[in-house]
Amino acid sequence: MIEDWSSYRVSDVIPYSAEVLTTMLAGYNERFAFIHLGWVILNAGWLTLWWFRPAWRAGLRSAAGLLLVAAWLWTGWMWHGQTLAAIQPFAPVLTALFLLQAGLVAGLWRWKPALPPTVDPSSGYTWRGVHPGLILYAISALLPVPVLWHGNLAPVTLFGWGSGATAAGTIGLVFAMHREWHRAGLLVMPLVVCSYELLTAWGLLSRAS
Amino acid sequence: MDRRRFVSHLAFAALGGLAGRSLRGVETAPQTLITKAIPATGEGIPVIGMGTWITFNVGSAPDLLRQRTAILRTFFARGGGMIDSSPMYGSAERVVGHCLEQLGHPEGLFSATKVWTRSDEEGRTQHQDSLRLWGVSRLDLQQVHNLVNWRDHLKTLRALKERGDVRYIGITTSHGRRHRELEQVMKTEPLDFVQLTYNIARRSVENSLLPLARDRGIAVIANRPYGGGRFIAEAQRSGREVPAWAVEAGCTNWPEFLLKWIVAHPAVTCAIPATSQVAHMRENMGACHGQLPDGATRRRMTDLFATL
Repeated sequence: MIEDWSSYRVSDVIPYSAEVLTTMLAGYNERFAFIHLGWVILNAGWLTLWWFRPAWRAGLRSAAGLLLVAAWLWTGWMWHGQTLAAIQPFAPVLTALFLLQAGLVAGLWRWKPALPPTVDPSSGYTWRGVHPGLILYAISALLPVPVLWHGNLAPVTLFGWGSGATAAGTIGLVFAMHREWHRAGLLVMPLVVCSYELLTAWGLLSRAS
Repeated sequence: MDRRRFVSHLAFAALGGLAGRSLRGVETAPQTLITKAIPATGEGIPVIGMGTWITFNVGSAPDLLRQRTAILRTFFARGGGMIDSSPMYGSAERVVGHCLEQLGHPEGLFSATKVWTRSDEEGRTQHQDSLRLWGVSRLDLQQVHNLVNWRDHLKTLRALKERGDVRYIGITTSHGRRHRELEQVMKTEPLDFVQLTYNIARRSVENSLLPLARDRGIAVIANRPYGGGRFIAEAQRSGREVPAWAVEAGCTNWPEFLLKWIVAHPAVTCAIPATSQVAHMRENMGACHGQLPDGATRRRMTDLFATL
């Protein structure tokens, strides 16, 4: 049985085409345009305040926890559960994983204690000192990679409503905000989701046209 | 047999009689629809059907639904019959049902789907869901998908057939997997159809499963006729045209070349290429007309493809 499964290529088990996925993402963005725009504003606002208001960082870290919970809930329910489910029979599994991660963040996020050492422009930062986690979050939240790839804004996904972007942004935020081992559990699901998204992208791109 | 098929068969019989030629187990006639008989009943079906894996899993986007309706319109206009789907294919069954409704449920449909679950009870539910999604009162062919829980499902399918809820039953595999188990099922269970992967590059079934299907009177559906699209891409990359001798044998383009090679095998009843483009559907259905290559030409085609 294991041999049976191992003989499948990734592209053999993706039940939809890149064309259909792109169309579905575009429809999802059109349907929730204001909410997705709100995500961009929230993410940009959070990054701006983190950068220019070091004194507010304790509160901003709690706000980041809320953003994460909301992002996993929204993406799990509205993307996987209500949208992708039309073409992906395993979407309910993805929905469950996303909701589980939202619960994990709610339970494991460090909501109150003192600040961890992180970027502080007032203490003479250099680019080498900028935390890579925040850069990963900023890219996931604000840089529309698909647009750079094929110039089409309609199917763009970013942190908050796109599966891979939310997972990547989560890795960035957790990495930037938490160094405790027991919170490493917050990284498991995002890493699984990133792997899944990369495999899916590779499978779709490698499929013969 | 519906009116269109009846007329088609009459034309075939007349032209076939005039031409006076036939290959063993293969019915051909120039410029007519090529059909083959289902061994269990002798009913003829067009040798080219349509698969729906990936291509018809388009959700509810209006533009994509319109495109798929146009594809099905072309399919039926050119004599197509069998449409094969599965609950595993996401929204494909619902999309097929939508397209059929848009087209006014064309005559000639041969509906084929599958049960895909480990649960016997859920298999029965999937059958009912398929009837609703396709918008039909009975299915022509119900199959066990990838041999999943085939022992229980075959009992269910036999009961459905006895009640008249399905006309034929079968079992499927793909990508050349689980052939030994499939062989055992074919030897021990009464089946009308078997679906497997057979194409110009994957020919292992020629040694055991295809002869067994002929011996046992089981119709054969060949899936993945283009190897997931790779063969067409390879032929195009080669920059070579279909040679004149293949054109003379009835294969005017690469899709016809690949499909006719498959359905010319005496044991194969039909092939089910999938497509998301009307132009490709036209090419696919070209293989359902004209003549099929004889054994010698088929061997030559095999040799040629190996050089691409």
